[in-house]
Amino acid sequence: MKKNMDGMKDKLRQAVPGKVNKQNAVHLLFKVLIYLFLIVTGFVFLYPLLKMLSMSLMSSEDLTNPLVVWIPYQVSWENFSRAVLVLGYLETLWTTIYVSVLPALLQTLVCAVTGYGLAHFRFKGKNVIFGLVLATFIIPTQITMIPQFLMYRDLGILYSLKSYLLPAVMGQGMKSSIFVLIFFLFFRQVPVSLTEAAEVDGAKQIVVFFRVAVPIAMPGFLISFLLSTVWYWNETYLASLYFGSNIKTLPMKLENFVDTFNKMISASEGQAGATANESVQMAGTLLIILPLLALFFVAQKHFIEGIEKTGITGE
Amino acid sequence: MKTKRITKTTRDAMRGWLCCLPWLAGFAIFTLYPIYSTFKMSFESVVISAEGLVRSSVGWDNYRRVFLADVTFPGILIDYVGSIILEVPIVIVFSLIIALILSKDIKGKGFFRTLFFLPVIIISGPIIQKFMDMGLMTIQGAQSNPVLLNILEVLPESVSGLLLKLVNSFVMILWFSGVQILLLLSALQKIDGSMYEAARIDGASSWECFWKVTLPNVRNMIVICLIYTIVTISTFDTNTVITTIQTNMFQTSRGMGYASAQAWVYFVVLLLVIGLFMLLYGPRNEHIYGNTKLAKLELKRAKKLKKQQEKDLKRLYRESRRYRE
Repeated sequence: MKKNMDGMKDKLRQAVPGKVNKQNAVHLLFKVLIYLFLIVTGFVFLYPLLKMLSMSLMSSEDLTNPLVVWIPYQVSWENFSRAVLVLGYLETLWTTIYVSVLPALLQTLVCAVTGYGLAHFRFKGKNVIFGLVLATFIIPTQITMIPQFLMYRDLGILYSLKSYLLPAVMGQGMKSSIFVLIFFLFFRQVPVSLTEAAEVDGAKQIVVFFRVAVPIAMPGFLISFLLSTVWYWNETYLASLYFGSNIKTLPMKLENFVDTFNKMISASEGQAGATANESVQMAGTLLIILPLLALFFVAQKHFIEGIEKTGITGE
Repeated sequence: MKTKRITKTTRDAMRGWLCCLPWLAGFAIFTLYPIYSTFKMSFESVVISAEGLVRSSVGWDNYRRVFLADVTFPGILIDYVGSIILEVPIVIVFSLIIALILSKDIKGKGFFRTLFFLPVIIISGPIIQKFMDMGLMTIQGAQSNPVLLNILEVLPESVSGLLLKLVNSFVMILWFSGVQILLLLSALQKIDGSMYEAARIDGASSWECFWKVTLPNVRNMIVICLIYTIVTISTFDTNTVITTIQTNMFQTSRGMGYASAQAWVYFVVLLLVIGLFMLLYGPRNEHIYGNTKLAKLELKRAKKLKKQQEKDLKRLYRESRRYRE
């Protein structure tokens, strides 16, 4: 009905020529400006990535050639083969995957249970717990990391993955307060009548949780797991503190890429004169981002919808 | 009947606590105790030696050193506060503009949403550091722009330094706005269209609609985004304050006690920054044009009143009957 009305309005506008044309022109100009703005900001957003791609393919001659801005004269794949060697790519990739996926999985599950408890049951002290959850978001890791470091050292789990897993199991992993909040919002959408009906039918609490609540809150699980994986993947500050040099993830290897390069490539025979120039460094960076990009393009729908749904159910 | 209801509530309470138990235990062990411990350590000198930790009380010494003896830390802190005060509004305003555009009927909306969210996935300390080293976080030529250079010359050094830093990491600041754009977008889509219609009928222009309808409606979400932005920028790996704290941890001359004092100072500063932003733009009860929430509240109150009245009437009726009998 409303669409019909709008259509009629348009037709009416077209029927009155002079005034409408001017309005249309302004409207069109405005639209063009908005698209222009979007495209320009989009380009600015992608600029570092595009530049990285172009630089990673340049040979050292292209790098110094002022005429080459974006497209290299000859594509040099050597950068990538060297970067793969320096990063120990496949092995490090595998390490990075399990260092980020395992804690993310545990963290998601524990935060889900906590969020479910807060959303589904009424009890005294609930608001206090909720307040604490939100407060932990503001508390910087710098204030907890020194005692945690000492604690892990005493427990003997320092320099191993356990120093990531233990806090994750207790719901204190990377930015876990966000995930508790996400689950709280999603589980709040589960109608109480539904769970009560299941209970009346004799279902146990665990069954109710897995069969009724979890399917409804599935987008919450997806977004939490994805974000959590990505954040664990990208964390280097705590990782270098807790893992020392025992576990090296891809981003951590990027930090001393140049040193490793000099040790491995420049020192080896037959590669004299090879330096860790910008191209090789960018090739390494690209290789590190690549798995994340792949994950994002496979799961982008879940990422975006998850956050939007959180925003819509939120406040 | 009554006993059953009580058991139901206690059972619910027990289940609720059970669900939260792992988190609560974790909170006590990995957050609450460390906070207390860091606080205690900030008054001690802590040295790692072969025999283990050697701790001795030094009173306020660490704090005195942080502010008076340390050559770099106060400067780093001031820089941090300055840059955050500059960067956070940029992130918020930018996110709001993009969200406003994307909430309209735009072709390629999904594409742009994906594009603006992309940095959230790849943003990490070493990668940003590499990009900054290569000068990729600013568009080429922006630093040597004559207009900018002239402006920088006129300004006092501290301000121009901040501004230059801003130009150098401009893209990075925008990269921090991925989540905020999506959150604001969903808040914008939630606004009841009839509110705009009502405002239009009353003769409001688009400009007035934005200030009187849109902005008050997304205020809560903006506050959430503010806190989110402050926290993400503050805890980001390339933040010099946190890298200083980490390097000081293992320095024998400084040690963990000193690093703890720095961490506490940093925490207080962070709280002050959040407090400042909340003071300027915190959650407030303001009049929203055609606020449905207020209206609903009013309706609820009216219904309650009516119910009460009915109850009173019934009681009165019953009493009067009893009286007659």
